[in-house]
Amino acid sequence: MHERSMLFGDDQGLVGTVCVPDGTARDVALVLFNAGVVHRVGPHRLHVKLAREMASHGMASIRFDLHGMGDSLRSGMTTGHGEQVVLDLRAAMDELQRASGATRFALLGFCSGVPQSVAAALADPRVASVLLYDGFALKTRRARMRYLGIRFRAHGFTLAAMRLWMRRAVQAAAESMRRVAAPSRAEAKSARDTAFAQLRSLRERGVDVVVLAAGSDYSEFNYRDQAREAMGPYAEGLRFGFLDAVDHVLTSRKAQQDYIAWIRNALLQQAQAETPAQAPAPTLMCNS
Amino acid sequence: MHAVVLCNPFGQEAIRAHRLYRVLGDRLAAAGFEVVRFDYFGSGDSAGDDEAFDLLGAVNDAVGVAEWTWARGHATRLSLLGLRLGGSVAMLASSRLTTPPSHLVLFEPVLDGARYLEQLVSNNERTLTEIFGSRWKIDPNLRVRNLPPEGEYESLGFVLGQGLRHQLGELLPMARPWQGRCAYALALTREVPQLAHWQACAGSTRLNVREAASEIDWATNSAVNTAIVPMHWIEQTLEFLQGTSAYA
Repeated sequence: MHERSMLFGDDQGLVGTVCVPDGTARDVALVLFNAGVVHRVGPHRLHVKLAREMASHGMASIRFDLHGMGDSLRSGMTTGHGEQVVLDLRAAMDELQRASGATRFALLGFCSGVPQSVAAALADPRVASVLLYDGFALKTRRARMRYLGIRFRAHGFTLAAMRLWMRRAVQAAAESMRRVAAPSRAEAKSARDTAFAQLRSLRERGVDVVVLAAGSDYSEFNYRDQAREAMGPYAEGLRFGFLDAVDHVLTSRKAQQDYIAWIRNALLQQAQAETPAQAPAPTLMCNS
Repeated sequence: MHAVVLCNPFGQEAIRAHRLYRVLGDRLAAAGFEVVRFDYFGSGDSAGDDEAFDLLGAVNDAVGVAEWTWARGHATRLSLLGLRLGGSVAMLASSRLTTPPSHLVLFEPVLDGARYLEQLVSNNERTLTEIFGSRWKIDPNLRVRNLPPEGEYESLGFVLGQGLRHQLGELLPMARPWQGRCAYALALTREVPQLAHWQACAGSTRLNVREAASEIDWATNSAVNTAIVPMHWIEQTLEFLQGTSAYA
């Protein structure tokens, strides 16, 4: 494996590090970029570790900072942020193609990187796979009940706890009524349906779409099939994973190892299942 | 030209400090300084696994980068700057350079290595307790899955290897006198009284200790306020390095 940091992009304003395996690299290479505002090394240096792990399995990668993030310059262009991100991701694919010979790419969207990865995949036919980590709010009724149950178990059934729960229940009911009355509810549903339809169109194009969620404190995700259930008919053909014992930013080293192993397996499984047009719907993988 | 080498802190503090170093580097460069930012071996984007990082290695890397900066031939003066453990690295490296730095800037330097280590370890468990919420209390398997095994230590995703743990106590004991070698030093700290013994034995260094006037938690795991830049530190650093402040 060898690594090289460089400036790239039309304005030479993007900063990234290419990691290329020894010997022949796979045809699919991995693109890693900012998770929130964390620079290209990723939360807890996760992207560095993942890049090296994938290189040991023959897959090249680039980890880079979008314009205005990390070490990269602000963009001098007048395009909107969303368009600029797509341009940056395409520039990273160009650079990785030059460095490794790869012609197809997997994009890893971490949290806020999820819609950015989807947008780039829609724009660039070289994208073979999108791995979407903790970027969707997909609460189901079952998830809400399970979370409530966990909270009850943790806080017990003493008088003080009961009072606390009564207060919370009143607050939750009021909040629920406000949400139902709010016009933004319909807009949110519409935005969600649009996002799901985009995933379906990617899948129809042969892109491997992987939705991965962390258990964290169970307030958002708390059972294996939650994302699949929440997406209903849009879930067909997508792959889903649930990392029960990890938190959103993968704080412990064991959580990082679980996450890296899961992503590695997903990428290698997809690489083995190539010829995407004929590929059967991949099996559910889960690490819980 | 006046060159400034920025020495990173450790672990999550380095992640959090990245934006500060970027903005500080840009401001210094705009003011005519040559600025060098780098990652120690076993950290950031540099080679080496997390396990390879230790304090002595970081000091060696800082010395190597400073000597490399001199060797480029652009610099007529060189200074070192560091936040938290990076400040300690800068101070320790200054005494090992062939040509001592003119200025040292220490942002909230680690004063007591043993206490710092205790804080890193306790911060890890406290953070896990907070992020897993109710689950942490009732799920022993979750704790087993996330806490390091007996005899191993980590802090917010970064391993605390045996070498690092030993060196923190050995090289940074609380009572140890000032270990820097430079003409001028500026320390911004929340622990002004604890630095009195440094001022008493700074020798030929004109050491100025000032209140940091900042409540930023550099070691937090929370994404909220991750990109943080105390601009008054940058202004004070510029004034100090340019010799326009009352302190140099």
